[in-house]
Amino acid sequence: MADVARNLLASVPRGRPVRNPLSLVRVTTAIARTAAGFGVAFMLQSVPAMIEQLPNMRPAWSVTMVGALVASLALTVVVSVIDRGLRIGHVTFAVVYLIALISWPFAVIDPAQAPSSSYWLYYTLTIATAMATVGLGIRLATAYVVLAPVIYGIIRITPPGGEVTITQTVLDSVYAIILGGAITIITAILRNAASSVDRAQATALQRYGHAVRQHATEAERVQVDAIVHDSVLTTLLSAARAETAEAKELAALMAGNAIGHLRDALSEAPQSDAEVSVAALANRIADAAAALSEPITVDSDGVRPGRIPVAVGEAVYSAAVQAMVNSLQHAGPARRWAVVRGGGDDIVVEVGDDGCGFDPDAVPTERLGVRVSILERVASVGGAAVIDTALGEGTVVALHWPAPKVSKGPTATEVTS
Amino acid sequence: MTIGVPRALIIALAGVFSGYHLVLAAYSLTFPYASETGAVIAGMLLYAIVTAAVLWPTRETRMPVWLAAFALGVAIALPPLITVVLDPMRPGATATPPGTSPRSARS
Repeated sequence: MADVARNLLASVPRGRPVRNPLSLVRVTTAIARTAAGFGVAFMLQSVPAMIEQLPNMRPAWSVTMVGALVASLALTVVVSVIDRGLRIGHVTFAVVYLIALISWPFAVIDPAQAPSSSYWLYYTLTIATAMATVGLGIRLATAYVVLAPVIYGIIRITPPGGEVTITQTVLDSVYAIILGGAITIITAILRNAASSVDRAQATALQRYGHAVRQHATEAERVQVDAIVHDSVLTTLLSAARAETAEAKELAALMAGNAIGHLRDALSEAPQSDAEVSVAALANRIADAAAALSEPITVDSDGVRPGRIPVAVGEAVYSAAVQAMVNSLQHAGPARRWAVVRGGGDDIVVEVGDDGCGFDPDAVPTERLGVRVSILERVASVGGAAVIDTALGEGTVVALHWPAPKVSKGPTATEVTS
Repeated sequence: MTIGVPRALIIALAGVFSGYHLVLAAYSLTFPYASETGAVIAGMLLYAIVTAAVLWPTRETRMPVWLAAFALGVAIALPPLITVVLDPMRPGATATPPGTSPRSARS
């Protein structure tokens, strides 16, 4: 039991970002909204101190800085409500706050009248650190959490800052660091937990999809077994005993039916809701291409985010790999390339070389390689394969899914017929 | 797999945060704010006891309701009890910043 648990844990990918981190997004939004809400409350709380202390500041500074702080706070409220550009809004507030803090001692008119009680910016100090935590990475946020209270403390010791005692200012700054640090640590813990949930969910989905595919493959195998037993074996037995012309004709008919059954079994691809991302497909093709005896680099710059049914992914993957293997086996020494591009509703995989090429009409029908493994495989999932080749001209195999609606060029069936 | 948060870290954070308020309270005793120093010390003791009781790492991860109610009651009762022994005429007494800052010796 413990081994099972350990194996499960071992196979859960750790630290890898998930494509669709739903929980993390929710947690981040919730934290951003909380920060914005408390920001408004603390800003309102600092208004009495502002009224008391701003007359001793240069009017230009007061108007600019209070205006900028209020505007950026409003921005954080807006972005966290509409849930867009969270980082920008919150980082803006943190930066504006830092500018206000550093420029504060230079805008004091009369140091003798500097307040001995807390300066009004102290009320929103924790909010600024919380905003930095929301918007910045953990290292920068930690630096901010320590730096901003230290700057506040240093200014408080100077005459324009109020010239308070060191004990007093250390107590104030440490308080702000503890509070800001607690917020940062709790935020980091929540984000980590959310990421773990996302990863576990993605892994579970992946395993589920795998199980579905395995089950489908098993079902297909059983079906093919049955057909082989029922029709193919019977056909072979009849053919072996066929002495007369009628018997031979009957055996030929049975053989035709058996081939038809087998083909039906193949085309009845088991349906599943499982999907695979285009990027994952491109990765699989690239992995296979890199593992060939003569590695081919796959250009997947044109891949857009999107998902395709697993059956389509499998077909396109196998066909692409087959095309690359064919090129290696038959095209001779050549430059080879592969391109994956498109998204969930129009994916194109191109495998090409500038080798010796071949004449598609000259390939005997019995040679199943190109026909079954590339053309029919892609066609069976609603795609189309276009083979552009001629003797000495190189070969380009383009796999399209779904099949282009208006096809002017030769489609899969046209090439094979 | 189990997804959780590091309990010890959270408890330590809460302990540091709560304990720092006792440091601030002790610092405030160096100024003649309260007419009855004993009342402030009693309040600090009560606060320390509640903090310890709430954060004590028991096997149970969930806090019992009676303990939460007790802690909430103390949190509500403490401020008015301490306000009685403070001088309401002290300048700036209403503008104490969030949770901290006894006025400096200069004032």
